[in-house]
Amino acid sequence: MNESVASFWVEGGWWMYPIALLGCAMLPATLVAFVVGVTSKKASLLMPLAIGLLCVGLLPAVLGEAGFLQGMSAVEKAIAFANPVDQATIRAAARGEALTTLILGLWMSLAPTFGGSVLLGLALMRRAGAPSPESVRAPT
Amino acid sequence: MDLHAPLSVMEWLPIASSAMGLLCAAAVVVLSLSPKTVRAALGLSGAVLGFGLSAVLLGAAGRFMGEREMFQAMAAVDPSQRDQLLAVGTAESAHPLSLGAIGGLPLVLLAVAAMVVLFPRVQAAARTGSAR
Repeated sequence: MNESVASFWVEGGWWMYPIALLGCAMLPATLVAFVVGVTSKKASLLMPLAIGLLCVGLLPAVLGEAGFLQGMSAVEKAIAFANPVDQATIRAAARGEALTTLILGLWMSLAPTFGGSVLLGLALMRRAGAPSPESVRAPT
Repeated sequence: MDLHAPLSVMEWLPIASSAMGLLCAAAVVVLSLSPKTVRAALGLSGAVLGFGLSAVLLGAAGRFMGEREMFQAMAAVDPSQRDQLLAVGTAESAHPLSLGAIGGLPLVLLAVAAMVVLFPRVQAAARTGSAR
């Protein structure tokens, strides 16, 4: 198990570090956004928090896709100098390795995307239930 | 897809996420029937959206994990068997994504529709003071 995790990490290359860092930072960020959003009395604060969490939450997946494309680009450049008989084998193995960053990115996007969606529902609920500025304004 | 073949973990996860989303969606529909609970339905529609998006993300992750295993196996097999392995592997690795998309995308659409429909209703109910 540990060996497979280690080989998964090594196959991803340096792209795994920013993806994992961003993904790990997203977990406490999701929790903080929930605590701040739910405990805050300002109904208007929840909406930007939810939309921000949804947008930033997809970043690990985007980084993973970038890592995959960069990996495939490097492979295609290197494969030009390889023996034509071995090219198909190298391309297949490299494609499998390059997918590692995309897989990690998708896993890391899961928690903030779910949290952002739930927070969006809470934000809409609060915003719709809050009195409109016109009705709060003191009569002149 | 062979329906009698046992499903893998990466096929069960999108199904589980979709099932949870369906439960929440049923609760949204039931809660939205009464003007007093329509506000709770609007809040719960966020969870439906979350489960729908999670099902699609889990399906995509499952597909790429399957493809990764397939390409690693392709590098090790006899070159004459590669085309067959590619065809079978591509078809099998697509199962989690198709399950996630079939379960998740309707949930996402339903959640967005619920948000669009229920938001003005909750606003109207808040003005009259009947929404919880």
